Amino acid sequence: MKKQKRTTEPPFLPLLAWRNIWRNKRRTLITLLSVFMAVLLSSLMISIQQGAWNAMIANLLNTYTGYIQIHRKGYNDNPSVNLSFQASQELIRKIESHPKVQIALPRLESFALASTENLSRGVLVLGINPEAENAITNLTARISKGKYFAEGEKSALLSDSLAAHLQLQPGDTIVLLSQGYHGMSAAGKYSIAGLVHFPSPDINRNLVLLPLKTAQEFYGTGNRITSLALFLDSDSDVEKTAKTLQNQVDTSQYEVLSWTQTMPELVQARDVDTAGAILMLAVLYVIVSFGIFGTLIMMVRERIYEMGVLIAIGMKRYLLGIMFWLEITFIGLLGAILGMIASFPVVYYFHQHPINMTQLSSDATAIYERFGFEPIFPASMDPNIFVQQALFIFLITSIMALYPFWTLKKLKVMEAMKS
Amino acid sequence: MLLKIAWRNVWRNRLRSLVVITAVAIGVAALLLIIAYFQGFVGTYVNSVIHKELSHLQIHPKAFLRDREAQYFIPQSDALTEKWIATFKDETTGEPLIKAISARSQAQGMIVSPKASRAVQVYGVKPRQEKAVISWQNMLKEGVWFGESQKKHPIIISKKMAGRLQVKLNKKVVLNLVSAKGEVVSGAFRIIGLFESHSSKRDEVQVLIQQKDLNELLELPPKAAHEIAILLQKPGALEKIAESLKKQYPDWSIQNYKELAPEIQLFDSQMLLMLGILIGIVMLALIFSIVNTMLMAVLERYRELGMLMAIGMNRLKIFGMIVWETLILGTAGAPIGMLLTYLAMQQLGTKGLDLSAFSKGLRAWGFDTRIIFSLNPSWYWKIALTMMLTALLAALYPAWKAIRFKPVEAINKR
Repeated sequence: MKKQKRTTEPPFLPLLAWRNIWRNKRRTLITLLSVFMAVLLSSLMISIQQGAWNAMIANLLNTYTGYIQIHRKGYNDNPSVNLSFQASQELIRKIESHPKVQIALPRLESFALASTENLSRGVLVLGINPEAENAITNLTARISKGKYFAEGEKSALLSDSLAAHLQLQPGDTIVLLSQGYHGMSAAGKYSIAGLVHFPSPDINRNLVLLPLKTAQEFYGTGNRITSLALFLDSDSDVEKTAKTLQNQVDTSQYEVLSWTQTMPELVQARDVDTAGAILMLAVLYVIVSFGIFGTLIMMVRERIYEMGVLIAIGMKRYLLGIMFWLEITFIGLLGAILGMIASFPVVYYFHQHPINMTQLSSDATAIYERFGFEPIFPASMDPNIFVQQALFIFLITSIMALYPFWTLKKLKVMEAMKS
Repeated sequence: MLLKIAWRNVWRNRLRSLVVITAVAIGVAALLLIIAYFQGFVGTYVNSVIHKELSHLQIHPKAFLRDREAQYFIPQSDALTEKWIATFKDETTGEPLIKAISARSQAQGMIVSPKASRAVQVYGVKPRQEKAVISWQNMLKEGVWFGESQKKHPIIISKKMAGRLQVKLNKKVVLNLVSAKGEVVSGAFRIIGLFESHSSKRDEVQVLIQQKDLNELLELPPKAAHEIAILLQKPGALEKIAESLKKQYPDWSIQNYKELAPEIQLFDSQMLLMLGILIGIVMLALIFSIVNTMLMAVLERYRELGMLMAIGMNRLKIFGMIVWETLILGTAGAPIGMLLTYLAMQQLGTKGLDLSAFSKGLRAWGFDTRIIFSLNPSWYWKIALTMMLTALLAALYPAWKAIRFKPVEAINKR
């Protein structure tokens, strides 16, 4: 017998699926609500978690370490003034010609013993180019007392916790002792020009800033520096930029490292925290998935008669399967989209007005300080966060759709029509 | 009787019920394991802090805490420690409450090697006492402890510092310090051991030498100490001993590990808050599943329920039946979840979870890389109870729906 030619249009499945969902309003709404709740909570939690870390890292990169650093080869593993180098004009020009690089700041960094009459403390000494640094990191805005310094002056800026500990004020004198280039003794007396506040409590405890030439004189390094700190125009493509620059410099002499390479512990700490957050979300999604699956089972079971009839009059089983997939996916995505929409105002609010833990609890400040974390949490507006939730739901519903396909495959039309 | 009917009703739609029961089982197991993780995490942290860093109590002269100058010391620390161990005894058993005491001198300075120099915190310790209070044997990775080496002026530093200074065992380093008279003094030391602690921040600054060597450099009497650390047999005696010491020595600051490490209290309160929120969220998610399922179960049996009401079953009993059904559905999964947790805890509670992939990040904050899960047994009951309450709450809407049917309409409806 010849196969009969199709004389009617195949059904428009999405419309059918949409209508079918609303045949049982209550059940659809309850399932929607559960997805909505899960997506809302997840979006909130992840945006705050990501936002807090991004803020902390951005702070550190923009006000202190820079995004990429260039050192003499081997410096990162064994930092020492003996691995200092002369940054030729050519090198700097080559680096700054990269479109993403705003500026390369020269720095001399090492340790010293800082002493006053009665107190002493180990400190980190950072020699900087006063004007260039200020132009990028806006250092002068963070001066809490006193004033800024100029290149070549025998004056120092102290981080304010350090100054408090050593009981120093602007105008006092501080003595620095250390070991300089090739082992020569480094000793110097400097007057304190001002005190600076750094948002990171760790940095705030131990930093002494000197004008670059003054630092070079102290350590006896001549016009050598220990690092070039590169500031990029944005925090995207940092790794790519680092790789490109790596290819452009003489790698037998220099190393070009992004912040993820100079501070891997920061990357790992963020990863651990993120892993924990994701784990909790996973638990939530697993439970919600069971709820969706339950709904799917009910949807299929109660329409066995209907499916039997449809198949009997000629509808292809796989088309029915697709319709069920569409139904469950619509419910999932609708819940997800509503959840995302509902989370926007809250996320936006916390983006503009970061959660300040110090206001919520006064112990929190001291405690976050011990961990070097500024207790201010803005929420991240990264659209990826929201899109990921929706994709996840989509994935879950698509996997679940296998159940109706399997049921349909096994369906015996005559039995179905008898139920 | 009602219970029997309810039980049978649950199993009329096996697959659907199993889905909810599985969801509950997973939810319960996940919750319990997360609780165990955090309890283990905090427990491990507190343990590390006590046995590797702060001990239970630390005593400093108040002036020293303020100014960190060598001249503010505790004289005759030897005699004091012996006296305290003898005095503080358990009232009933007569056992000493103090396990060990270590008196240390302290100074800030610079350590210098041929290739590099670093700012350091120098601790002058008495070898045997120090080892009894802080578990250095676990942290000493290479070389030997004081007393086992014949070298004069030995020093023990961290592996990280040795790397920074580019030195190895048996090499010499120089310490530059400020003495009690305010003069800069220095001494040469030979490295006899390398340690690695749970906190890389601490490793970067701490070095150990013998107390007699440090006191000599600082021009202090040989038994002078700036810090006394006390390790107790049992933490319960903490308050009593602290109070007694505070009364006897008003010029000294007596602090317990919770005051010295305030983040411990933060962990406790934050953890409880977070767990509370997490439990709430999981229960909320489970409620949706249960309500959805039960609602369907009720609505598809409207004829049957109508019939029951028509032949005289009173509405209260119907309400009760639905509530029982919901309770069964909601709580049947809980024991399974608890069993899963118990089985998982056999491994996680003993060998723990190895997070060494994140070791750099964890050690930067002073966290151990191996978390031993720990679950207070009361949590099993707490979660089971919460699950029951959740199920009861979930039962309300479906049960209410069930008794609203008008029997005549229900029987006749097509």
